[in-house]
Amino acid sequence: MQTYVIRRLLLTIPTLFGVTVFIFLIMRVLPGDPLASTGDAQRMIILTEEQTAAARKALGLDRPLYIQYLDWVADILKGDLGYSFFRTEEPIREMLQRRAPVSTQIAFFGVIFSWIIGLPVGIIAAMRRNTLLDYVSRVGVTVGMAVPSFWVALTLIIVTVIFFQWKPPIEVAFIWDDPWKSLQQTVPPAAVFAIGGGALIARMSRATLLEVLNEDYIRTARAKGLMNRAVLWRHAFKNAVLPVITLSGLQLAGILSGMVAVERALGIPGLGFALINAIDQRDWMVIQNLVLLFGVIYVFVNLAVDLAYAWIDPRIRYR
Amino acid sequence: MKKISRIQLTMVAVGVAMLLALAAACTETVEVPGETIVVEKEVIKEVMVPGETVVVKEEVVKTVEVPGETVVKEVVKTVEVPGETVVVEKEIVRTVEVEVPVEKLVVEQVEIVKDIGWTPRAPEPNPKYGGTIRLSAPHRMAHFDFHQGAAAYAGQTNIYNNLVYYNQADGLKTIGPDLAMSWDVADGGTTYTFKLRDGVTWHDGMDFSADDVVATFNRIISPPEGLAITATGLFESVESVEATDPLTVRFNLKNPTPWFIELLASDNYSNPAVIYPKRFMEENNFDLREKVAPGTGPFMLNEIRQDEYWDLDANPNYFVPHLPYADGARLLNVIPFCDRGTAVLTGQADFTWNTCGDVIKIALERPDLDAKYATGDIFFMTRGWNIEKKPFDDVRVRRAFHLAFDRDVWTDIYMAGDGKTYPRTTWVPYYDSANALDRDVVLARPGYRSDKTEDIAEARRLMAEAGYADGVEVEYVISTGTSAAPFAAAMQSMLKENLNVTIKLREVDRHEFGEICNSGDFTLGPAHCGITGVPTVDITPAWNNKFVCGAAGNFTRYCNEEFDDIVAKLNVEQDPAKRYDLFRQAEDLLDADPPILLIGGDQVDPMWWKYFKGMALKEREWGQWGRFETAWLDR
Repeated sequence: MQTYVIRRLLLTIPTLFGVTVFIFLIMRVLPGDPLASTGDAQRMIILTEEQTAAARKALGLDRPLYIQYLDWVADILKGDLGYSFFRTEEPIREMLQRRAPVSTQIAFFGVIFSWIIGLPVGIIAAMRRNTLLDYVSRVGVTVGMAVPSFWVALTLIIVTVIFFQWKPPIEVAFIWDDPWKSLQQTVPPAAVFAIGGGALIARMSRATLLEVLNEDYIRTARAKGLMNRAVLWRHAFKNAVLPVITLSGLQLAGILSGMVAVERALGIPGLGFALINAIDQRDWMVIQNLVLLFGVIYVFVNLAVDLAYAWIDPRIRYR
Repeated sequence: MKKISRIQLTMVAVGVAMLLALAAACTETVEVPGETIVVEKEVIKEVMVPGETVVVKEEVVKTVEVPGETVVKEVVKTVEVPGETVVVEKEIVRTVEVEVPVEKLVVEQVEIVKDIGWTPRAPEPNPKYGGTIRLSAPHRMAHFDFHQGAAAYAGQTNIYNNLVYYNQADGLKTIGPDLAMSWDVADGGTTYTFKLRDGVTWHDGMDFSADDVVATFNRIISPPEGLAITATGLFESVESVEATDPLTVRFNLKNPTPWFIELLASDNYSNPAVIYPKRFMEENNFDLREKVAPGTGPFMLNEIRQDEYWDLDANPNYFVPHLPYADGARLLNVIPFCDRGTAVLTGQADFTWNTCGDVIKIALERPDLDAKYATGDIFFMTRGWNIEKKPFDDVRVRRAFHLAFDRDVWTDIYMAGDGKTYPRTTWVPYYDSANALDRDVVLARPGYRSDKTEDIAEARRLMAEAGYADGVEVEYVISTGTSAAPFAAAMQSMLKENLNVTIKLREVDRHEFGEICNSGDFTLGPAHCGITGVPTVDITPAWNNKFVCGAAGNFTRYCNEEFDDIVAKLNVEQDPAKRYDLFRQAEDLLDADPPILLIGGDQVDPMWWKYFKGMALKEREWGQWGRFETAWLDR
C-alpha cells in the first residue's frame, strides 16, 4: 500500500510537469497577450510599436520563453504564485484563497447532491426493474445526462431573475461567516451539477446493482432466507457502489471543468469565473496558476478514489 | 445666572471694539427712535460676468445673541470671480447699546465653496447622508495607472479629481470647477491659467499643490522612457505646463484647442485626465501600474478584492465639505452585460451605468426601479475598410456602401427589434447638441433615411460606374464567438441584396484586432479599424486621430486634403457659429467620401433603484462612467 501511494505520488510529478508545459505553451500560442487586454486596441488611442515594446519589456514578455517558464515554475516551487499583471497589491494566492472555498463547496455539494439524487433512483430502478417506475426513472436519467449543465444554469438564472428577482450573491460568502448567504451561493450551482451527475450515478448504480443482484452470492443470501433489505444493503450495495465511487471521482473532475461555464452563467465568484475573466484578459499568470491548480486537484482526486477502493473493498490490495 | 468667563468677556470686548471701529467708517446710518442701528455695507466692486463661474470663497457668519435685548450680527462674504476681479461684500448690522451682560456667545464660521453657476451637489433638495452605494459594472483593471491605459470604466475615478469636471447634477451639460477653482483663457486661447483650491490634501495626508498638476501633465505630454501614456496624442497641442505659484498652473498651448477644457474634464474610458500626486509618482519612478496612487477625490480606497469588488470610504477631508453624501461605495465587478442589470434587479446593487435591453425593459415596468433607454455614449458603431485595397480604393464603392447600408436592420438586431429608438448619427455625434444636426434632419439625409429605395438605386449606379455592376467579393474580419454572428449575417444579407456584394467572413480572436488594424491586414474590418470610443464630445480630436492623412489611428489609410483643411480650421476655430459651419462642411464631405462605414452612435442604458438619487441620470444625453459623489440613497 505504502509503495503504491509513493509510486502514485511520484507519477504526479511528470503529470503536473506536462500540465505546466502545456498550459504555458498554449497561452503563448493563443492570439493576444496581457497587453492586448489593457484595452488599447479598443480605444481611440493605439500604442505605437515603441510603446508596445516598452510595455512588453516591463512585463518581461520579451524574454526567451524557456526563461519565462523556468521563472514561473521556480516561483511555484517557492510557493509564490505571483501577481495578476502589474498589480502587486493583488497577489494571486489571495485570490485563490478567497475563491477556492466557494468552488470547493460547490464541487462537494455537487457530488453529495448527485449521490442523494442518483443512488435512490438507481436502486429503486434496479429493484423495480421493468416497471413504470423504472421506465420513468430511465427517461429522467437520459434527459438529465443529455442536458448540458450550462444550459440548466442559464435556464435557472433566467427563471429566478424574471419570476423571483433573485440570483445567487455576487460577492464571495464563506460558510463560516454567513452560512445562509453561502448556501444561496453554492447550492444552486451544486444542484445544476447534480442533475447531470445524479443521472449518471443513477444509471451506473442501476446497472451495477442489477449485475450484482444476479451474482451467486446474492442468490445464496436469498436462499438462506435473508430479507430483501438485508440482501440489498449488506451484500449487494457495497459491491455495487464501487464503480459509483470511481464515477464520482471523474464527476468531481467534470465539475471542475464545468465550473467555468456554470459559475459564469450564475455569476458565482469562484475559481471558474476567475479563470474566464483571466482568459478574457489574457492574464497569463492567473490562467497558468489556475489550470495548474485544477491539474493538481484532478491528480489527487484520482489518487483518493483509488485509495478509497481499498477502504470500501478490503479484498483490493495494491502492489 | 451663569457666570461669564474671562475669555468670553474678552471676546465680546474685542468684538464690540471692532464693530465700533467699523462703525466709524460706516457709509450709512439709520436713526431709529430709542435705539441706534448702524448698517454698514461696504462693496469694493461688483462685477457680473455672464457665463463665468463666480465663487463665494468664504462666508463668515458671526452672531452674538443677548437674550431679549440686542443682536449683533456680522456677515462677511468674500466673492471671487475667476481671472481678474475680486468682489468683497461686507454687511454688518448691529445695535450699539449693549447693556445686558452677554449670556451666550455663538460664533459660527462656515467656509463654503459655492459657485453661482453650479456647485457639485445633488439636484434634489435635502439629500440624505449615509449608506454605501453599490455599483455593478466591470471593475477589473489590468493595472492601476489610468494614464497608461487602465480602463476607467466605472467607479475607480472616484478616488481622484480632475482640474475641472462635468456637473453630475445637470446631466453632464456643464463643466465647472474641480481641483481648479477657476480658470482664465488668454492669448487667443493658447494660455489657460487655473487657480487651484487651497487646503486640498491627498488621501495620504500630504498637501496638494500646483506641482502635482504640473507633474501629472508633464508625464502625459512627455512620458518618461518605458511608459506608454495613451493620452499623449490628445494633449499634443500643449507646449508646456508650469506652476506660477503654489496654487496657480498655466498651460501654454502651441495653438488654440477649443476642446481643451473638455479634455481636462474627462475621466472616461478614452481619457481619464485625473491628477496624480507628484511625490507618489516620483517614489514609483513615474510608473503607477503596480500600486493605487492616493487621490484627492470624494472616496478613498479601502480594499480591493480581485475580480470581486473595490471598497471605497468617503473622504472626510474632501474639499467640497458637503460631499460625498454616502459613507462609502462598493464597486462590484460584474462584467457580463445583462448581469450588471440583474445585480440591480435582485437588490445586490443600487445602480449600473449600462446593462442589456431585456433587463431595462423589466426595470421600466416596475414602480421601484428606473432606467434610461438609449443614453448617448461616446462610442461609435462603425466598421473600418482598407482604402489601399480593392474595392474600397474607389470612392464610389465607399459611397455606395454608405448609401446602401441599412442602418434600421442593423440596429434592429442590436436593439432586439427597437432599432428605430437607436441613436442615428452622422459624422458629428448626435449627443453634441451644439454641433449635431437634429435627428429629423439626419433621418432625411441620403444614407441615413429609413426608405432606402433612392439610396440603393444611387448606390447600384455608383457600383456599376466603379466597374462592379456584377458584384464583388469582400473579405470581412469578425471576432470569433456568437455575438458577432447575427451582425455578420445581416451584413452579408443586406449587401448581397442591395449591391450584389458577397461578404466572405474571416473569423479571428478579438485580441488580434489591434494587430490586424495596425498592420492593415483587412479589407473590411471591425470597429477597431474604424472608430470606437472618442475622448471628447467634440469630435475633432477623434477626427485628428482617425481620419487625418497619416494620423496614428488612421487604420483605414484615409486621406482627403480637403477634409484635412477643414479639420485644421476646426483645430483652432473657437467661434461656435463658425465651428458649426465647419462641421457641416466636414459632414457633407465625409458623406461623399466616407473614410469608414458609419453605422450609428452607440448608447448606454443605465438602470437604478428609485431610491438612488443625486445623479440626474435621466437628464444625461451621453454617458460618463465616472464619479458619483453627488449620489445619495433615499431610504
